[in-house]
Amino acid sequence: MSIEMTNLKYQRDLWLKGEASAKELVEDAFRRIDVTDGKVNAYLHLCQDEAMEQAEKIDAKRSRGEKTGALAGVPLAIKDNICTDGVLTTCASKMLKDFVPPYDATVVRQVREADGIIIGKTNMDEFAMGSSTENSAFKTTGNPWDLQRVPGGSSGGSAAAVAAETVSLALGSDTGGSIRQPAAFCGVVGLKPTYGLVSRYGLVAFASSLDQIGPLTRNVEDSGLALDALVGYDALDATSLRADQKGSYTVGMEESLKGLKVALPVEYQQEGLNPEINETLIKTAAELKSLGATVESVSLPYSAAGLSAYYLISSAEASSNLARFDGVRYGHRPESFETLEELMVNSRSEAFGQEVKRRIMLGTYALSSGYYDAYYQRAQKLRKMIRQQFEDIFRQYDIVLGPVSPILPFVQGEKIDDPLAMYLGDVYTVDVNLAELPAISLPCGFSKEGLPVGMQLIGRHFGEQTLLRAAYQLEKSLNLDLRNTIGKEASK
Amino acid sequence: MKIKPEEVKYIAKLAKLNLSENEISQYTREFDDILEHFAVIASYDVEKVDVNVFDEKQTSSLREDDPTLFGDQEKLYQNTKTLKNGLIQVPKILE
Amino acid sequence: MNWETIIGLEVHVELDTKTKIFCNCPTTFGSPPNRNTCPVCLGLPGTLPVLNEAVVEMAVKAGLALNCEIQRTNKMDRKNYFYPDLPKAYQISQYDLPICTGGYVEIASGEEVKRVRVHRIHIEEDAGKLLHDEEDPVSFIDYNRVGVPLIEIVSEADMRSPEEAVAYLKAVRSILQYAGVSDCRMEQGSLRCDGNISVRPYGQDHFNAKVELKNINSFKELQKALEKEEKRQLELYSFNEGEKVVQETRRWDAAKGRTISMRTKEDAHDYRYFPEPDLKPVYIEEELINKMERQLPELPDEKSRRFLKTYGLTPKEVEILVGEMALSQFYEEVVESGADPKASANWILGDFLRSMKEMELTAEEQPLKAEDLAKLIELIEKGTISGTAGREVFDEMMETGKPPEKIIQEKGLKQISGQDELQAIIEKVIAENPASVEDFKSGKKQAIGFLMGQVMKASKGQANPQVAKSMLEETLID
Ligand SMILES: [Mg+2]
Ligand SMILES: [Zn+2]
Repeated sequence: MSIEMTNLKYQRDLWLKGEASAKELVEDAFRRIDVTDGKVNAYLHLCQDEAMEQAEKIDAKRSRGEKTGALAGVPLAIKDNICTDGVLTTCASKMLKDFVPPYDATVVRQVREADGIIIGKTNMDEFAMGSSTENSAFKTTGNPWDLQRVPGGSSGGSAAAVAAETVSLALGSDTGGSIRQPAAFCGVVGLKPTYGLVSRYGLVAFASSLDQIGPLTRNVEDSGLALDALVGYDALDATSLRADQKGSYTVGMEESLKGLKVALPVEYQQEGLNPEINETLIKTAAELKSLGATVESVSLPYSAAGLSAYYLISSAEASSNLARFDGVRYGHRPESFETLEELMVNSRSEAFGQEVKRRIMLGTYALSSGYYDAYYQRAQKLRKMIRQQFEDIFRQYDIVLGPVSPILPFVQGEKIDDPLAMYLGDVYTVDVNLAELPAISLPCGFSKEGLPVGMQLIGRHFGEQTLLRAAYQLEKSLNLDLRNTIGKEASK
Repeated sequence: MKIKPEEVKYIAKLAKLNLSENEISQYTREFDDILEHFAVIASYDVEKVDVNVFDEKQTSSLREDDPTLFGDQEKLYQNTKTLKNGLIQVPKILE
Repeated sequence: MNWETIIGLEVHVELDTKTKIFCNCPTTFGSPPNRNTCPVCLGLPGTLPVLNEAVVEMAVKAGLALNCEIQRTNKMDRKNYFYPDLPKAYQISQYDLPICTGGYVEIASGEEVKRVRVHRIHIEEDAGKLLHDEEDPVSFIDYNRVGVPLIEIVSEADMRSPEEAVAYLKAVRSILQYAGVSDCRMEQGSLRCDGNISVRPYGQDHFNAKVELKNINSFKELQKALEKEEKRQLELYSFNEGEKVVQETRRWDAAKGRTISMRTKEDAHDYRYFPEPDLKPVYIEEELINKMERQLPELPDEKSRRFLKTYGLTPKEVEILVGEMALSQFYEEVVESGADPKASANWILGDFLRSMKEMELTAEEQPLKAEDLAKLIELIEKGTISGTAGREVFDEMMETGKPPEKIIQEKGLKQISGQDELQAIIEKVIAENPASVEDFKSGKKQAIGFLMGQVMKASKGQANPQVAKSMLEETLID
């Protein structure tokens, strides 16, 4: 059986109306994976048995007339840095090659409680460090729009899984753009919520003060629906905050953008911005205007320091967060070791990949005595200024518009030997994490070669509703055909 | 040169990483580039920014002092390679 | 040359919370290995710390009890270092914004009262325990203690002798016990202490290199370790080898009775402290401080003054009684049960403490009920039993926990004070010892001693000596 894999709401409604069983939906997802994933490589591990079992339970619930959750019957994928009880969680690292968490992340508990069905864990850059998913220790994921190209990263597997139409929802994590950039590369919608809106409990930390879990979906409405299931104060995460939001995030999406004030920072059209992306940015601004919004140029002078501040802070936190991986309690055991020191050093040296080691080193350096003030401390001060700067802008504007990435999806292997060039690709996404703001990346056009181009809208703290409304209206107005050949192939 | 190979070696030691000579020179080169780029942060005047002044709204919620036992010890230690009578075994630690 | 010794102490105290500092695991002592652990305190990937409110409350209470200023804005920091007893490879502690600053503790220094300043108190988590195999080259880790909340109390370098250091530690210990924030059991490691010591010639302004002493597990060892280290440094300076006194950490080896170098400053750790990003700042409301202030019970100083005034005890007696909270509570219970304050103090400071020591019991394990001891004191006072018999009863009470009346009855220790019964015994003794009676009557007054001995012997020790003696005298004179 083939079900038109369009979106989450469609699948959920099929199930609610009794037109498809959860079992059929899950079977269809695995069939699609069978067809496409040999080429795309979006998944690291599948949980077919658990998913089928879960589907049967949910179908039984329906037949008993029991109340079901908001994601009932929907097959979904989880980035492999989010802990799943009893299911491998590797962070795409040799370090955690056989690590099975004894507990569920809060978001995993939430999707289970919403009766969503986890069908697999997706590929990523090792420990979420990277922008191309090439830093996975296990496989390279292809971009469904052009398999030779990268899907972006670090949530590249999640973005590719949605773009290839194997699932309508995949969870990712965004530390400096890791949901938004792969969403832009793969032509899907990626939402990075306000820091503290979604619990981080069970997300294997890269940089604790920046990490945030969010959904990757095929459209904006689904993003809102997914967010409904993920939000909520969590007593297990001390940085989790109570949002004032009441009701669904999809409420109010239909309202017009008349009077919406959009800011376009001049710093977001820097030298190095691909002209085709810049063109899409200009067109997007025009589209927003046509919808009744005003778009004005603003300046974010501190954002030129954003990338450096981001890399210093995130690497510093990573160096500490990843120190627990020493092979003693869990994780990679080296083949040979005599002393405890050798056990720890060999475990880390053998199991961490190049990029992870690079960030650990960089972060250790930024925190070490003699460099703390010049690097880590100064970066924190700049972070404060960047946050302040956004607060000032949001006193006058509702939304900030900008590109997601300065570059188009690139060919695999092209940038892997130039870390700085890779880092520079994050220039437009990191400020959002530093300022703890919500932002959504949505497809706004295509390059001449037919590669998707994404734009991001940035909102106020806990301003997800306005953000989703603006994105929804923009999406509707642009009305792009976002299906690629891989996805179509799977739907045959 | 912003960073010297000796510093890279020292950092690797702090981070409990054993790097080959090749890796040392590679990281030295790369960090040189990266730190040169990061030099931009020195150009801002952040003298007046106090990182110990916080947003009063952002306060940690505290936990009640109410005990619960995780219970399933076998599951909790399912990833531990060397468990002996409930203890984790490691090579002899010299104090 | 005259030398001056400079000592400062860092005291780690386990707070008496029900759960750990960042997770809900119980803090019970003596559980099977790794039983009190969970994904959070085991530092499993993805887990996050959430601060226990009781930790904040107790730290505030400790700060108030030690006369500190409570810092309204608090932040936790990470102290990074690799060690297998630390599952996250960092300890969550406080670096530049500790919860309490600037307090003091009063100690007796000779005849004077001296203030030892408290520099700061901060909150942190404890590490796990390492066990070493006797035969095989392996060690074992037990994480039960990981995440048990600690406060670290850092004194100023205000102490000038090992005696003062011990007095300070004792004072801190009893204040915290009274405040109810810790049981402070050194033998279980809930109170641990590191000492910093240096020496310098009198009149010298700057400090010489200081040595940090670790692994000190009792007051006695603190005294010994500081004395040994003081001596070692003085000797080096006096042999013109002062350069050998370097800033370093030395371990106190109690068995060998000496300090051993662990690491020098050159290879000291680079802890890379930075603000804990998993926790937001904690603001302490004035309301909480007031509440803790109200909850503070009578502290040792206040109690000492009251004991001196109310019970007419000597300063030395008060010092010992009040120094140990459980002892002072026991004392007051005994007195409240009706026993004479002075006699109660004599019993508690004498036989009671002696037999506690012999039986190797802690204050919490002691088997006596206050009302039983009060009863025993009363029985002796009233003459129901003799002082000698009283000791025997007391020992039995310590052994079995039985009430004194029962023991007296079982052992037949009740004194004979009855006139008729005693008179019969006296008559018999007089009849059987005519020579001694003659001696007494001819003026050898000491002969009564022998006759009393015979009376006691004939009564199997149960005769009330005072009553018996006066009756014997009367009978002889008649
Ligand atoms: Mg400490
Ligand atoms: Zn725990």
